[in-house]
Amino acid sequence: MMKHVRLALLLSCSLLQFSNAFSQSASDSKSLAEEVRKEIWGWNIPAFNNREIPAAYASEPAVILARHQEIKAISKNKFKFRGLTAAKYKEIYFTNTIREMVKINDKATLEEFSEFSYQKSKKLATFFSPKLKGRLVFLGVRIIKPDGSIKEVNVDDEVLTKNEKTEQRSKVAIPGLEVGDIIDYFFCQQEEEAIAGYRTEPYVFVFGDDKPILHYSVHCEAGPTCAVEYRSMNGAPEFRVKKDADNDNILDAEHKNIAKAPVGLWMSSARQLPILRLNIRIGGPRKIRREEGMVYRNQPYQQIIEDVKIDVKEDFAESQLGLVADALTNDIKSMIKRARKSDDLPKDSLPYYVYYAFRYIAFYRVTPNSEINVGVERNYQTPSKKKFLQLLSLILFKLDIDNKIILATSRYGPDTKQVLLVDDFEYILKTLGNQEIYMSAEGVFTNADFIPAEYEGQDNQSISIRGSGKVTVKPNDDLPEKIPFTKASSNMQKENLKVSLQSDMEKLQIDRQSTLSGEMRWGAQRALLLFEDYYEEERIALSVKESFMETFADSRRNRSLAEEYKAAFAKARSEWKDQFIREIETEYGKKPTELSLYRIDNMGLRHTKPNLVYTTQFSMDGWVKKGGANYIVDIGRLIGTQLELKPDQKERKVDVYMSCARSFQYTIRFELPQGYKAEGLEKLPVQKSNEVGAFKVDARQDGNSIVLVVTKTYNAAFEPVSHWPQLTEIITAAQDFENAKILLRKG
Amino acid sequence: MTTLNLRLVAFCGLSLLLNLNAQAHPAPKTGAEDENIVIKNKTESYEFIEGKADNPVLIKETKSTVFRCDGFRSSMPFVEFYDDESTIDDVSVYVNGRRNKSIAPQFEYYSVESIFYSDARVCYFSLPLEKKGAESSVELTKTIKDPRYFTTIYFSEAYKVESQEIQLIVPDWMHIAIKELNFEGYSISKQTEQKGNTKIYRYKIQQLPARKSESRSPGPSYIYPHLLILSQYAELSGKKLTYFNTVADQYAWYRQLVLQIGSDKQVIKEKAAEIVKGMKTDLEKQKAIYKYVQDNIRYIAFEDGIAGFKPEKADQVLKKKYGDCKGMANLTKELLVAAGFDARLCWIGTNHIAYDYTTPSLSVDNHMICALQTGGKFRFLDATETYIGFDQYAERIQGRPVLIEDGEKYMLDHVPARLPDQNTDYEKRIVRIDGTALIGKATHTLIGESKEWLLTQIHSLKKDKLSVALQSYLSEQDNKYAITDLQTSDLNERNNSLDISYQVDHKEAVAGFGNDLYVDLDLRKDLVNNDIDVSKRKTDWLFPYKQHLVYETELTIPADYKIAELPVGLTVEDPNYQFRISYKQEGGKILYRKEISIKDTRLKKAAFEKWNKSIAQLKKCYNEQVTLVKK
Repeated sequence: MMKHVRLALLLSCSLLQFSNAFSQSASDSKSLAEEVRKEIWGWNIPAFNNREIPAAYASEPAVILARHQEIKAISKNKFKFRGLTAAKYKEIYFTNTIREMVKINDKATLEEFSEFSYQKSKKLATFFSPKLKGRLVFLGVRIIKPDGSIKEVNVDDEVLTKNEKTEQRSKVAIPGLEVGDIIDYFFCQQEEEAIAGYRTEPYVFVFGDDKPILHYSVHCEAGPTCAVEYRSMNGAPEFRVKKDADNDNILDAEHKNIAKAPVGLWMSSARQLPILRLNIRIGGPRKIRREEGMVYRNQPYQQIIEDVKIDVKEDFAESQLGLVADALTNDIKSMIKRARKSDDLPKDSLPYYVYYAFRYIAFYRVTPNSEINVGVERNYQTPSKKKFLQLLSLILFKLDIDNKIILATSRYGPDTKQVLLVDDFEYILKTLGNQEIYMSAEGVFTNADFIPAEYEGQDNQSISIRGSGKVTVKPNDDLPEKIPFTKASSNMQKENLKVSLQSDMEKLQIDRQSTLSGEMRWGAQRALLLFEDYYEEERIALSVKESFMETFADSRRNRSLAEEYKAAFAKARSEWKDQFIREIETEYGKKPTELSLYRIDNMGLRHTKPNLVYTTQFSMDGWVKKGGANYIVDIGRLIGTQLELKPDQKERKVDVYMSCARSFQYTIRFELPQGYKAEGLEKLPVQKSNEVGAFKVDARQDGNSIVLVVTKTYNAAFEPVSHWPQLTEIITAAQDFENAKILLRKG
Repeated sequence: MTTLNLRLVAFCGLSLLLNLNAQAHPAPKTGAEDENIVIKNKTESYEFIEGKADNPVLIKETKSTVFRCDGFRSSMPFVEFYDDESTIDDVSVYVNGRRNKSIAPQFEYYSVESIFYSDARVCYFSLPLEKKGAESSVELTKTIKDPRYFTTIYFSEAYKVESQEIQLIVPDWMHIAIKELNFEGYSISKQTEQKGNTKIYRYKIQQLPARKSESRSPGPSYIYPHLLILSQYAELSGKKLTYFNTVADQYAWYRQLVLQIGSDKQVIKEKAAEIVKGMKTDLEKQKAIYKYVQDNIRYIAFEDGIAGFKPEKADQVLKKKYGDCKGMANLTKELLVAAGFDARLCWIGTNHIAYDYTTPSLSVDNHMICALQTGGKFRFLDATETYIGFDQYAERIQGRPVLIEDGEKYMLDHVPARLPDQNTDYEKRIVRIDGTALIGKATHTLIGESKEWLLTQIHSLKKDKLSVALQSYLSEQDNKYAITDLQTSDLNERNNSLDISYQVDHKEAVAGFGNDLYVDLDLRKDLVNNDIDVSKRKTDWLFPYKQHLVYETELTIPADYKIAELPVGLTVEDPNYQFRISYKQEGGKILYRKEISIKDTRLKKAAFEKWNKSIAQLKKCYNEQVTLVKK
């Protein structure tokens, strides 16, 4: 495994890019590398002299003895004016260094650190200072043997996998590394850039990793032309702040003895791990206002909302979204007019029509210039949600439907009161007045009046966007909007199975109808729907006069396109069966021996018929065992594979963040073969119910059939850790039922 | 903006504005063939020409490929490989018959996860096919710098080829042999023409199906029609340049590379002495040296042109603690020689390759191991197989021809083939019924490749999870199979069997209904999902190694029960595999025994139907349970 993963800690930044050439002599680069190594190895950080591992971590495969990250954004205080633009620009010198020392205790960790791969240099030429070096990354590696001896690795003994003026990439194999060694390495990324305008650099320091960390420190130096903001979350250490003789702001933080981060099941890192966030704003505050030289700690969220307002306004100014909204509104007006002619469009369904019309234009409509993309990949498109909803908001407003944009936060990000950056907010649109309808933009199949579960249960402010051409944005000062929680019954997987034994008495024949609602729909919608079908359904629902196939066939220029789409549709449909086979395999843990029928009964495209319903008929083997003249049926398998907690997941010390409240219902009618009686029904019923949910099984005989009704419910998306035992009870009950059996006795 | 422009923005720009990314989550590949694009026509010509001093003989390759869209417009990735021994001189792209200069080919290193570095490079770009019936084509010229590296010409492509012509233009001063492989079943014609001082070979092929990548497939040299070009020698300006006229020539070329290696003999001598210190017998010492290299040197694949054939210095490999197969073979050899043994380097082609040394060529071998002369025969040591024992051989080298150094001369031999018994995976459980569970003791004994496979799996996981990983493997991730008191023999020991024992509690293995008990005696049900979809699979199926599984369960019948019915069992005998399942009663016990042998790792396509029938019989047998009834 390559160490290039580590470079994710060196976050990339938004850059001004202009084409230009730059050259860097090899010897310059080499002596600079030596300087860098000398500086970093010479750091006076006591943690890097520690070789002792606490007894508690003796059996760990790896321990991070020390990790230090150093960030510098120091200006050279050169202010220049140039040419006609008279733009001010500043030369800023950045470094981002991460150094860590890791004790290697097993072969797998040895593999992890035995090869390093990184981008050595990248041209970032700017218009204003073509002689700047661009981005350079220096690697330093030392091996500390158990006897204390230190050996520096020659990282110039490398393989350049890319060696061009614009970019160099390098791979280094680490020689002489053995289990029991300590590896001490760093990446130091340096950039010089002339910034005309403004740049923002966000950093995230997470105090928790897949290895224990004995000492983690962060040091930041920001020049007087920078504004610095930070926030500590979930008990992370705070920065100590001071100024140095050059009036630079110096920030330091550290944390000791950090245990391994908890396991991945049902976690929200942003809410559960100690995280320190930092943002450095460089250059003139042309966009968002912060004072140069200031350090802002834990800014109130109202300030970030003000920032959103400025950010949205800038977006509109730069991308002419207002004009685009105008054009789209005209399109949608024409569509409404046509719809009103052919089908009375009641006034109260107007907001819904607008939503679906815009969704149609964004995802479904095909023009002669569109790329031919009609397979299942098309279902996975996701939009820039913010732009989608900004445009929609303006369009609705132009059609006299008042609305606002709620600034929502996800359960998997910081909550409203802990935001630091504009991007911490997501949007949900809400129409106002007689009808309050929520609108979101998750993807191709999102219904009107749907709110993704990750935003539930939080108080949010909102903004309103108005205007045409020039757009105004204002934060609303009404009461915060609380996003309601969905109930388990709204997010449901419902399975209706009719099962019988095939005549060979080996396979089960299953006739299954699946109904998925709410959050449970996404996976199957994306995997199973065909564009050819959902395009047509939506087009008709919107009263669009003719399909694009008809339009193309009528046009001499585009006639061949109609043929091509026909071929593309045929190809997508020929691959459709495999998608259903995969769905069955995911649900039941094994492929069907044969799939004889597969059909979508309702696509769930609209809030009026929101459920995804589909039918499959297939056979399965391996679930019927023979014992003499009798048969044992693994009837529990018919509820599909159930979550199995791994050994390291059984004990839990942290709260539980699940995706949503949800429920499952399986109604199974098992037809007994002629000449056989069922036994063992009395062992099937289960009644497990507690404050977090339930698992219930009812079983009865109905004539020549056995009817099972199995339900599983998780009442809430979030559970405190104190409820873990109850949650485990439900999970275990479901798991146990997977092994339920009945006997078919002859006679 | 005018209204029209606004509309254009709205129509075309919207998807860009909204950053719609259809490829963000690409759908899983269905494996269906891409029939949308077809190669209408492909012409290739290879001409031997005189070069300059450094590269006196060059091969000039000209290739022209015409692609046609048969279904709907799209674009396809065009890819051409090259390396340090070849150059791509010119690429011209034509779309609808017109030269398109705006499509700029990229030239980059081609990286494969398992190879640390190689000199393989790729020239690639996206070629548009603008509508149904449209044709786009690519013409390129390439130079291969040395005939030794001009080894094969494959006919098949990623798309169906309607018509193809391949020309080999060989001046009389160049002496080659051409071997035709896998031509049966294809429509291929050959013509030879003498034109002045040049011989021209022409191959014409019609309607060639697309190559299909499938898992567990034999290497391409076994499957696809191709030519093996054997450059023997050239006579230029009165001089004879010998390439690989005979195996001796090939060996001579390898030898001159080996002679260049050099090494710090002192360092190696000291290391060897350290490893064998205190050991009495030769065998002990040899095993210790082999184990040392397996344990301490990490395998990293470096495959780089000429360096792809020259091993690294042994003392450097020792120092770096990593090496590729050549480095590791050389280190093994040097350590053994330093310890006083007759050890040599050998070149070998793994079973991925269909050729042997009757056709001397660089394409015959792809691996290097060490040969040790003991007791009048050779033993072969492949240190890249980290957990295999001394005198045990991985499937991929078994039976393969080896070229062994013998000073100025060479020797040819074969790595011995082994029987499935070399890889026995034996498991025995002694259990009794406790409610709905089977509880008792289980023991495993693994040797050969089954042992190596297991050790490789568990050592690739983090240390604190080793026992967890082993438990998970042994329980088949079935949480009803509880394992406690797990004990193993030394997990670093190569030469003995790997022995594992533990207490087992197999919950829900017994189902009770009224006075009956139904017992499932086989947790593993090996091969139950190994039937092959004959409607989809095109190539033979290759098993990873010759498997030999023996699985036994001994069940004590509860005192108050007797046997109502024992399943019949199963015998499937095929020359290439064998399934045997039996149930026996012995006193108060039931003995379940399953034995599966795969004798030939290559299951031919023609045998798929019979194989599927055998698997169906196996499945049926697995579904039968022991029935006990209360006395």
